[in-house]
Amino acid sequence: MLTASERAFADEVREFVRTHCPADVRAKVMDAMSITSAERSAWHRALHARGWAAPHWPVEYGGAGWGLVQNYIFAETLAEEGAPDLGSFGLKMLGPTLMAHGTQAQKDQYLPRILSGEDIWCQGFSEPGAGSDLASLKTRAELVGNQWIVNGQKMWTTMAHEANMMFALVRTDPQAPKPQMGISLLLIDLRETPGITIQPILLLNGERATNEVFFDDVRVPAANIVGEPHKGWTYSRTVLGNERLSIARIGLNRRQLAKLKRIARDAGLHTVPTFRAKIAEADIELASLEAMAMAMLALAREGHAPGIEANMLKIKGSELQQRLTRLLIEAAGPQSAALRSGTIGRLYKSHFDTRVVSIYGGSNEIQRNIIAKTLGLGASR
Amino acid sequence: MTEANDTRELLRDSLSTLLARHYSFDQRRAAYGSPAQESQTAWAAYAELGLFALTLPEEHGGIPGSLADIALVAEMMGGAMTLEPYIATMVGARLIATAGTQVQKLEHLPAIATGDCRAVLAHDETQQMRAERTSAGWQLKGRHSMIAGGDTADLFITSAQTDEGTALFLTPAHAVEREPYRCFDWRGAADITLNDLLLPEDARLQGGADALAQARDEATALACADAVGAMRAANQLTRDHTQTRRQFGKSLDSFQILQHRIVDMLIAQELAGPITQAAILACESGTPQERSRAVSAAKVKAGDSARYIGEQCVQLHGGMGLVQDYPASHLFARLGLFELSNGDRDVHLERYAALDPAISAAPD
Repeated sequence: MLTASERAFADEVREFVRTHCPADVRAKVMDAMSITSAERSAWHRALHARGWAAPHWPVEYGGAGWGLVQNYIFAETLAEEGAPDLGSFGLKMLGPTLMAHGTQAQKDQYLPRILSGEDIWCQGFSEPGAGSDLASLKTRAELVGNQWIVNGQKMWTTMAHEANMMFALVRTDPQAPKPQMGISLLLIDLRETPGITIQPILLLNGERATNEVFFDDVRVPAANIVGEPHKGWTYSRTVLGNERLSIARIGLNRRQLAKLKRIARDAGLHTVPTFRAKIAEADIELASLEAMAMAMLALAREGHAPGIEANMLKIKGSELQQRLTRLLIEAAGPQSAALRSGTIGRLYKSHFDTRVVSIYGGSNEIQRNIIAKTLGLGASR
Repeated sequence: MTEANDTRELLRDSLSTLLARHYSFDQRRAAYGSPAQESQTAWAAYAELGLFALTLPEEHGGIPGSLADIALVAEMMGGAMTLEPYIATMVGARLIATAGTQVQKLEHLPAIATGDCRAVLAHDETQQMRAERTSAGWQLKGRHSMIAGGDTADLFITSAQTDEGTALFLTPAHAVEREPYRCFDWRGAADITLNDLLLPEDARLQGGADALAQARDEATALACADAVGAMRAANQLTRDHTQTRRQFGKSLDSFQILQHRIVDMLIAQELAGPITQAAILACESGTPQERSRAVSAAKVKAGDSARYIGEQCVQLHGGMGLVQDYPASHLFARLGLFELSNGDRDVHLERYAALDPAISAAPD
């Protein structure tokens, strides 16, 4: 349960979204339509002006220094109101990683530009042969003089076509005894560096959200390595850990559930016992997830960092997100797949888009592996 | 808040010690095999710890506390698979405390608080119990089935339909025709039949339908807490087993398919716990509608988790999961009966939906 002051804070955030984010932009987000990068930038600027672009960052770096509870309320309220997502790569993943492992020069150069939205970052982790088994990545970087020479290929690089910067995991020591031990984290300027080719990967939904990125003798300044050479794998754990905390999805699911009830009511399905039961089941699943998230917040208030509970929330939150879009197309029927304007016409696309949420950010199977390992399963052999 | 937490930690420690002393698996087996079919030693120890006095009015022998304290006790008892009707006794006691007359409270609560009297709610959904007003008081006729703790109750709080609506009557056990039996999880229950039983006017509680609804929701929420305790025990037992049992030259827990199963069992438990706590809280501080919705949500979710964990606990134990001399089958039975009782999944799903204005069947 939220305290009175926490509820007041949620109301303040809600009010801010409604006054500073145009209704048509929020409507697009709620209907799973793409927004333009100009619309996203405008919202970024509004948040930045309020000091809320990265409120989870420490005050010294331009954040608000909020704790887990306040960040949770903030993020869930934004999602519930249909505010555009600013993207995680710079604000949630690289930013905190640079704060922990970057040089002073890197912090001075990149953090303000992440905060203001001047730099758009993408993440060069996955490769054709390295998905869930990320440590098997092959993109090579060799130090020659004061430059890293990068050769290889990244894949599933979301936002690469809109980004100007990439943080990439590259193999710097092929002779290391374990694959994890020969990897470094490099910062690469995509616009100013010759030898980089970005090719779109078109998904069935017709959108270009993700890309292949090819590196052909790409020269990156030696100073662009984060932390020590060959320790990139350790740093990438910080990166992914930061990402997972942002995947609770309660606000988004609440919004989708409300939409499901509206559509079901319009279609007269709310009185059909079998469908009514499905709505109630999804509603109860959301209530359970929310109660679990609240329990995690209660622990956070006492200073306990979330552990495998965050992985559990990611699994169940993404499953519920998928269940809700499936119920939405079920309520709307085959019409949901007709490619035309109107809310119903976007539903099948939304259902399709949502398949990715159990795949990215560490697939749900990988999440289960992480929980199992934390529990010590298989340790005795 | 902190004081309440401290008190609860103290309660947890004391009860943990008590259960360790009186409720090993072997002691439990001895208890259900004894003539009393329960542990009278444990019952006395509960009383000594003040568990029956929790939340009852102090002037009637009670001690301060909240429903969350009783839920903690229920959860720990679920983990130890205790046989005695603690939840039924507390639901009955609280019903008398909230809906009884001053005289009824004075007469019964002190004995309940010391564990010397067991008063349980006699109600089932078929509503076959009628009460007619007579010149001398009330005449009750009908039957209630599957009354938890009904086999050893001293006093029933019998629900009955009257011309004025639902009423509740204190009914001495010796005045009813009782058919006691044991259920598959070894716990006791009973059917009672009343053949034109005459009760005086002062046997009737002040509260009626609202008090009954509150008591039934409390019973359901506390049953969820008991089940959460049993889920934890089943998960722990399963993990211990898979870490020691070896096949194909390695421990079971090194097979990924079983690792993921164990993770899913743990997630089921972690989803059931917080929603149950939310239901307990709503029973104490919510409106009747909030309370009923929260309790139905908890019952559906905890029921799903209970079924999954109970079944997988048996599955991962293999044949040992069915053996009477091993706890897995007992946990399966306790979790399985939980899912069926206090209103099944369909009942609570429909109640949850019906209380949601966004999809209620009523016209706009």
